[in-house]
Amino acid sequence: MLEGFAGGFLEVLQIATLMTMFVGVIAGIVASAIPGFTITMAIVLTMPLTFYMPPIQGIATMLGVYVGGLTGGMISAALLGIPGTPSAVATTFDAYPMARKGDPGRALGIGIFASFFGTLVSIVVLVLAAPPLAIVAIRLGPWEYFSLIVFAMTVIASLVGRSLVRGLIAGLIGIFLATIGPDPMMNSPRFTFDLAMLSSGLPFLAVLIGVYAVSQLLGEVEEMRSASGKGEALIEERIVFRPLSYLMDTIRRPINLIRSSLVGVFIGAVPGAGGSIANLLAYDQARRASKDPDSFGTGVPEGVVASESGNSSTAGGGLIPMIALGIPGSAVDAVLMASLMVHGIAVGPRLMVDNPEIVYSIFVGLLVGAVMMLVIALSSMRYFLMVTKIPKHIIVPAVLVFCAVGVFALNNRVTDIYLLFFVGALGYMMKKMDYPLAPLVLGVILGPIAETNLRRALSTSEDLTLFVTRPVSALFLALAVLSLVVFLRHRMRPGASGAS
Amino acid sequence: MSDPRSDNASGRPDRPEDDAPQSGAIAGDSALLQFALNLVMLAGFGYLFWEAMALPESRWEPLGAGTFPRVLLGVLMFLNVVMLIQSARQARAELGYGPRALFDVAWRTMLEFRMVFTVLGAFGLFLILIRPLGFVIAAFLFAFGVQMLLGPRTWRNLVISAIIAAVVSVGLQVFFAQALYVFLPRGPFF
Repeated sequence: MLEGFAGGFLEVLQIATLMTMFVGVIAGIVASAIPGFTITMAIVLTMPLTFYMPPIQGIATMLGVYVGGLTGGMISAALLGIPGTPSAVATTFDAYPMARKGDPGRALGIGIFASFFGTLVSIVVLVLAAPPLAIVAIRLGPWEYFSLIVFAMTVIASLVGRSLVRGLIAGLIGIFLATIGPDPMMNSPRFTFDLAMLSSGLPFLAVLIGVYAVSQLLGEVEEMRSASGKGEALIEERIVFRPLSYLMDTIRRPINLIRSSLVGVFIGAVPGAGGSIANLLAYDQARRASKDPDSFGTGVPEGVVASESGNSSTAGGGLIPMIALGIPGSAVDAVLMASLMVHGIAVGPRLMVDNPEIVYSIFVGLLVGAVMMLVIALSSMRYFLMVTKIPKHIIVPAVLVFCAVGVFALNNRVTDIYLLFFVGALGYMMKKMDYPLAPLVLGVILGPIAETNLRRALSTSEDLTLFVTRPVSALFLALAVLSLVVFLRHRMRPGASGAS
Repeated sequence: MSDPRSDNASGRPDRPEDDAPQSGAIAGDSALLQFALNLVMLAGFGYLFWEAMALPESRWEPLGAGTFPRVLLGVLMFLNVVMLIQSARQARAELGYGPRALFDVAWRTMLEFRMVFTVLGAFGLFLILIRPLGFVIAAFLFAFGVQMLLGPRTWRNLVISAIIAAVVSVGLQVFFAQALYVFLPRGPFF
C-alpha cells in the first residue's frame, strides 16, 4: 500500500498537475459560490479540457474542482443566506445567522476547516474501508432505499420551526412539487396542465434558488424600507478573519466533526444520495446529539461544523462504490468515470488490480486537492468577505440576475426562469406566513427518491413485511422511529420551542 | 401573537415606530390571513386531489401514477383542516373588527411590503422581457432600475448603478458565451 501511495504522490506532485489542480480548485470555489451553478456543472465544463491531459492529471484536476466546489457552496450560504449548491442548504441555518451577528469571518473560517477535516476523514475511510462499504452500499434494494429516505425525512422534524403542522405542510408541499412532471415509473404526465414549462417537471435547482435566493433577497429589500437604510451594507460591523481561532473552534468539536463526516461518507457511498442529503442529515444528527438543541439555527459553530464536514466528506464517500465496483455514487462521480473511460481506462471491480496507479493517484489527488482548497480558501476569504460590504441596493439586483442566469444555464430554457419567479414568490409568501422553507427543500430532494423506491419495491413484491424483515431496511426504519420518539419527547418537554 | 394594546384588525401595534420590520414572519401574525391562506390551500389541494383521481393506474405495479400524489394531497388537506380549526377562533375575533377586516389586513400588508412587491414585479418584468429584448437589455434595465429604486438618488449612485448594470448584463453575456459556451437569449440588437 505504501508503495502505491508513493507512486500516487509521484504522479500527482508534478508541476503541470499541481498547476491545473490549483486552477481547478479556484474554479470550483468560484463556480459553487454562484447560486445556481452546481459542482456537477463545473465538473462537466472542466471535462473537455482534461481530454488533452494525461489521465492522472485530468482526474486530479477534476478532483480539485470537486473539492473546491464542495467548499465554495458555503460562501454565499454564509454571507447571503443563499446556498451556492444544494449541498450547502444546512450551512445557511447557522453560518448565515452567525454572519449577520457580525462574525462572517468566523462562519467562513469554521466552514473551511470543517470541510477540510471532513474530506480528510472521507479519504481515510475511502482507503481503509472502500471494498466492504461498497458492497453494503450496493446491496441496498428499493426497500432499504425507501427506509433510508423515511429516516432522512425525519430530519424535517428538526426543521419545522415554531409550528409542527406548518413544518409538515411545507415538507409535504415540497414532496408534492417534486411529483409535477413525468411520473418516474410510467412516464405519464402529472399536474402539468399542458404547460410546456411543467412538462419535464420542476428542476430542483430552480426550486432551491427560488425558495432560498429570491425570498432571501426580498427579505433584504424589506429591511431597506426606511430611508436611513439606503446604502447600507449586509453587515455594518468591522470584519475580522482569524484563521487560528477558527481552527480551534473546529477541532474543539471532534465528535461532531467525526460523526458528521461519517454520515457524509456513508450517504456519499449510497448511489444516488449525495451531498444534498448528507449536509441535512449530519446537521440533524448534530442537533439531536447536542445538549442545547434549541441553540441550533441561531448561529452556533456546531451547526456549521456538522453541515460542512457532512457535505465535504461525500467526496470520498462517492468514490467508494466507483473505485470498488465501478458504480458512481453521484453525478460528479459519473463524470469522473466518463473522463477515465475517455482515456481508455475501464472503471470497474478490476480497476484496483489493472490500474492501481490510477486508484492511488485518486486518493492522493483528493488529499492534495483538500490541502490546496484549505490554502486557497484561507488566503482568499478576506476578498470574499468584502461582499458583505457591498451596499444592499447593488447586491439585490445583481444576485437576482445571477440567479436567473444560473437557472437558465441548467437546461438553456427560458421557461425555467419563469418557474424561478413563481417558486420565489411562493417561497417568500410562505416565509412571511411563518412556514419554514427548509422542509420544503428537503421534500423536493427526498420525495422522488421515496416514491420511486416504494413503487419499485412493491412492483418486485407486494409483501409489505419485507420493509421490516430485511435487516438493513429494518435498521433504517428503527432509526426513523427512534428519531421521531426523541423529537416528540423533546417537543413535549416543558419550555420546548413550539408546541403546536 | 396579536398585540392586546392594538385596536386594528391585524393585531399589530399602531405606533409607526413599532411597525418596523422584524426578522420573523409579519404577515403570518394575522390569524385572519392565516385562515384565508389555509382555506385557499385546502381548496387548491382539493382540486389537485380531484385531478390526481384521473391519473392512470398501472397494470404492472400495485401503485399507479396517482397513488403517491393522492396520499400526499389527502394528508395536506387534513393538515390544512387542522390549521383552520386552530386559527378559527382567533380569526373570528379579528373579524369582529368589521366585515372589511380581511381587506384591511391585506391592504396594510400591501402597503407594508410595497417595496418588496415593486422589486418582485420588476424581477417578473425582467424575466418576461428577456425573450423580446434579449438578456443584455432586459438585465441592464432591471439592474439599473432596481439600484436606483433602492439606493440613494444621487449622481454618484446613478453612475455606479449604470456601471454595475453594464457588468451584470454585458459582462455576464460575454463571460457565459466565451468561457462556458452558454449563450444567453439574444434580442433584436444584442
